[in-house]
Amino acid sequence: MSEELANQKRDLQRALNLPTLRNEQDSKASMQFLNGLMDGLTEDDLYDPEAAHRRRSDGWRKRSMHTLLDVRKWLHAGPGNRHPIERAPGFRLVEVLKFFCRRKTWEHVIEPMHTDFLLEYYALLGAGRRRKAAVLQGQMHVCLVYAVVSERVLQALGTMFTGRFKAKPDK
Amino acid sequence: MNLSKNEVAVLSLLMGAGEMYGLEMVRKSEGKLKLGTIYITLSRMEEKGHATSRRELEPALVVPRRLYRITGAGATLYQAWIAAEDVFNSRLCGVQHE
Repeated sequence: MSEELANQKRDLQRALNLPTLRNEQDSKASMQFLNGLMDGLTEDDLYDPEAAHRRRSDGWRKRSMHTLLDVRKWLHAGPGNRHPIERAPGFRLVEVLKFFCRRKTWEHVIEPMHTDFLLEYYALLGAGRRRKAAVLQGQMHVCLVYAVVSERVLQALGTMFTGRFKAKPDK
Repeated sequence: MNLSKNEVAVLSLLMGAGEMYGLEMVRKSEGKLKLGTIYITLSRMEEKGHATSRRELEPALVVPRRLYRITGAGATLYQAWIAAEDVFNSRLCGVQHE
């Protein structure tokens, strides 16, 4: 009986194209490997190599699906298992605002404001106050945009005002 | 001599300390200063020459903070402001500044 089972295992291995190990006939490790494989198969698979093939291809399909999902996650979040906190809040907005504000405003207002908001945000997260942290995040976005818009608007109004009252030599 | 409430609060904080950053001032001001407006006030004060700033060189911080220090002109202005406030209060209702 055991000889018959060993033959069946050998046939199964040949049918599944499993990697051949050195001294496989005698190796205890390879027998354990095959036994472990057979535990996962049904009895029909022993006598039907095609069914075993199908099961194996199903497994491959599932695995490829998982790989595809991993790739999509990677594309979305970047390489590795990134924690959501690694993408600090406001960085994208700050990069956008960098194009609209002067260098001086950037260095003296936007950058230090962002740093302080981040420090406060992380302190709140550390204290477990997630809702307050979310509110602060919103407040940070509003304040950053306000700082840039107010600077630009005030600059424009100042230019208009000084231009209106500028002395003109011909009049 | 024209100082806003925020500017007076910032000057009073900077008079006591050497260098401070925005968040520290907000925490010490007990609600007088807000995080969203303090840097606008500070940049305005820097333009007027009441304060100077420098970037903090600490490698542990990803984004560097900006440290502010009061200038001589700022200190003089603050003292003049306090003196003027004292005179105003004493003439109005006899209250002296502590």
